[in-house]
Amino acid sequence: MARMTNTLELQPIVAGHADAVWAALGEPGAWWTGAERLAIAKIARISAPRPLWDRVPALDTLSRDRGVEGLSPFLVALAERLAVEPSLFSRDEVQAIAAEIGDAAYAELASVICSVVAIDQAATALGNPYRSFPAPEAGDPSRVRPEGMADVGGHIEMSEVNFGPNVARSLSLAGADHTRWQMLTFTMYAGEGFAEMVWDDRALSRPQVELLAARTSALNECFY
Amino acid sequence: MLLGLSSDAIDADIELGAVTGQAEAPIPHSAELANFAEASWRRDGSLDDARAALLAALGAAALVEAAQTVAIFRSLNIAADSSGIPLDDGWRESAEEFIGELGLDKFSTAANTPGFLAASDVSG
Repeated sequence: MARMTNTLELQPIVAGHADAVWAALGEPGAWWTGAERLAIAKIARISAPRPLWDRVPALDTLSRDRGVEGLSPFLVALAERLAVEPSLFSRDEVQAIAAEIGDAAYAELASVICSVVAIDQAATALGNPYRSFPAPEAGDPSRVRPEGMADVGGHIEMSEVNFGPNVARSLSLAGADHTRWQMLTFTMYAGEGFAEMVWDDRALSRPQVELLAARTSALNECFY
Repeated sequence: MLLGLSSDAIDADIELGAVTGQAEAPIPHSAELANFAEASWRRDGSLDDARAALLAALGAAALVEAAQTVAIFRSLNIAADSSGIPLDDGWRESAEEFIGELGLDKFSTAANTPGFLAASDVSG
């Protein structure tokens, strides 16, 4: 099979939102500093599924002492598990983690991972190199919790008001990170055409896109 | 569900097994698309060939859309699983129809998805 020699680029609108997501990785968030967010992002990048004989250690056995990049072994393992085996988190486990580090801090950590995975995975799929991480910016987290959050039946609170499928509000407790990720999702998937079952203005038809989506979700064993 | 609805819209009678790799979907270039999704998920040496095959079959613009789709769905899966979002009301009824047929009740998230058990019980 012939190999490609030309670099394939994200669609410009996707690249624009990816730029915004990427720049924010190094900025202080609501619950994590810029350096901590970048440490989380780097774990998301390097994490890969482990063989059966080399599992991520149980979170309750790991030290909570913060290391040189601001993350404890517990947080490193949490980030790794979210990146590669999120389907194994139970409601009880997530709620115990949220009680320990804060539910909004958990949501922000997960949202950073979702953002890095989306952008890095697209690069991998296209055969492109990964982006360089931004430099960390100084400053303290804002510690501002978004308003309008409620228990709607998930593992953590999320926006009480919803204008789309539940996944659109999944990590709304992460505030600005979730909003940026939502825009990235919007442009990388259906855009304005979510409710339309026939797309005639794109390179792929709606069933072709949904086949890719369904196959990927099945491989990830994501029931939702 | 959206695969089913969008296939209905073009009168394509899709087998649910296409989702889990047990059947080929009657969608143009479904084999290249499924192979690309699988190779992207594995992130191994098969990805170069899968990418080249999809490029040859559908062109660069389609390859970019495909890459964006598989990437954002890996991300969406993490968001869904980490937050434990419940099934959407409108999707629960559809889920009842295919849970058993596809073996989705074997997925590790089955027990962790609020609303799943009710749908599973109905189907069983």
